[in-house]
Amino acid sequence: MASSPGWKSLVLLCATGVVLAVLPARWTAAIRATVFDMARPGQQAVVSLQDLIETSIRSRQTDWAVVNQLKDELSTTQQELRRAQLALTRFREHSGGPTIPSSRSPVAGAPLLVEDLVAARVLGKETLASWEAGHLLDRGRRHGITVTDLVLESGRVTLDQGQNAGIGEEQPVYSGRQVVGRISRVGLWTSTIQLITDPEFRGLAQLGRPGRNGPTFSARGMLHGTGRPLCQLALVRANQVVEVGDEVYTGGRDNLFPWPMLYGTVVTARLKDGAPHWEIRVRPAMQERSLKRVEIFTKVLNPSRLSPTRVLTQ
Amino acid sequence: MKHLLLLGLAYTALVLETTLAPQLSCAGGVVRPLWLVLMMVLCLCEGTPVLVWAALLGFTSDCLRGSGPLGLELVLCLLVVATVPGLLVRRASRSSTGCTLLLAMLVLTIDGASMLVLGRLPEALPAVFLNVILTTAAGLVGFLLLRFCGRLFEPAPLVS
Repeated sequence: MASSPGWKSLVLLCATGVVLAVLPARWTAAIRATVFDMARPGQQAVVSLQDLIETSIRSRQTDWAVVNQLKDELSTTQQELRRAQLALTRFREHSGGPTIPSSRSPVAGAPLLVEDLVAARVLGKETLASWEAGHLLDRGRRHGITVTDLVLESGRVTLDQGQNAGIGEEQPVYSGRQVVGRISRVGLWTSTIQLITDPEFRGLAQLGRPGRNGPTFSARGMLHGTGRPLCQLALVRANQVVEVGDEVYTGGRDNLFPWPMLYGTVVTARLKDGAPHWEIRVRPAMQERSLKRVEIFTKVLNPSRLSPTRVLTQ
Repeated sequence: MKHLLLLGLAYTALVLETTLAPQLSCAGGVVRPLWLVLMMVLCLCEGTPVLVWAALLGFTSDCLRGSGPLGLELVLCLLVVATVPGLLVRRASRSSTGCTLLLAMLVLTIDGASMLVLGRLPEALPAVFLNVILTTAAGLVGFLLLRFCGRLFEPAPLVS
């Protein structure tokens, strides 16, 4: 030993060990249990520390998992956004719609007029009744609204958009891909629609047969309203093939949209002996009762053709 | 102060042996933190306190062993620390080799003698040797760490 041992202490401690060795098992078990009980606070601390470390590691792993998941979602969303932007650009280029110019200089070769769709709500019967009773006009006068600012044609659908939204007469009105009619009268705030079932409605049309890759277009004609639920498709030559179930689309040469809009479906097609044209009845695709929101097709000056200098010059 | 430190270390060793036994064991052997504390006792204390600490650590080891007589390792610890060469203890406090030798001797003699008395030495001999290796390795790492930390706190040498 490093220093002189205390022999008495050594003997005493060894004797203690011998005494402990000869203790009955019951007592030694109690002593062992006491020592284990003394270690319990430390054991609890170690277990808590272990739990803390494991929780920390797990939370870190979970955080990374969440971060990776969010990264995946972000990249997916960015790809979708890119795809949508490409589709929008293609759509605008195809429809000649307003494109966002990369600079303020006018784009050479861009169309002068571009199309725009103005969304409008169909005014309900209660609103129209209130209007007819003069309540709206009375209130409108106080706010500077004159009678000519609001239009009302009995029996026609009235919209809540007018000249202030860039709407003009004869502009086509759609509901999705379906043709509703065209604007008949325009006020400052409201306008009315001439539905395709109106006796005065006329519109170029073409027949289309539904197929897997879209309709196949064939004969052209003139759709006009009859004042009844069904329209009539006239001027379809007798040498054309017409069947019940064929669809009738817009057929103008103005190319308002890159795709034709739907008038309705052929319900009857009859060709009299020796007649030069078919007699075709068409059920309109639009349902007047279910009309709530429509889009009015307007044309405006292409912003890309306008430049500050030109505007100033004008 | 050093006795308080040793008390804290002894309690820590007790807790580690009872709580982290799976983490401290490897290939059938186990690190014995109690004998690491015993080595520190030998390095830090002299005289009767060494005997008292050895008895305490031996008694604790007896209690941790689920079977056998209670005072066996207490007596073995006392005999080992009473007979350990002073030169080895002095070298252990200064060099890593001495530290390794002292630790190896402590673990081998106490655990080996314990198994011998209990009559389980032949089957427990590999485990005893593994205990020696693991505990010595742990002690050596601790010794090197302590020395490294001690050098960090040493004042910088004067340069002319």
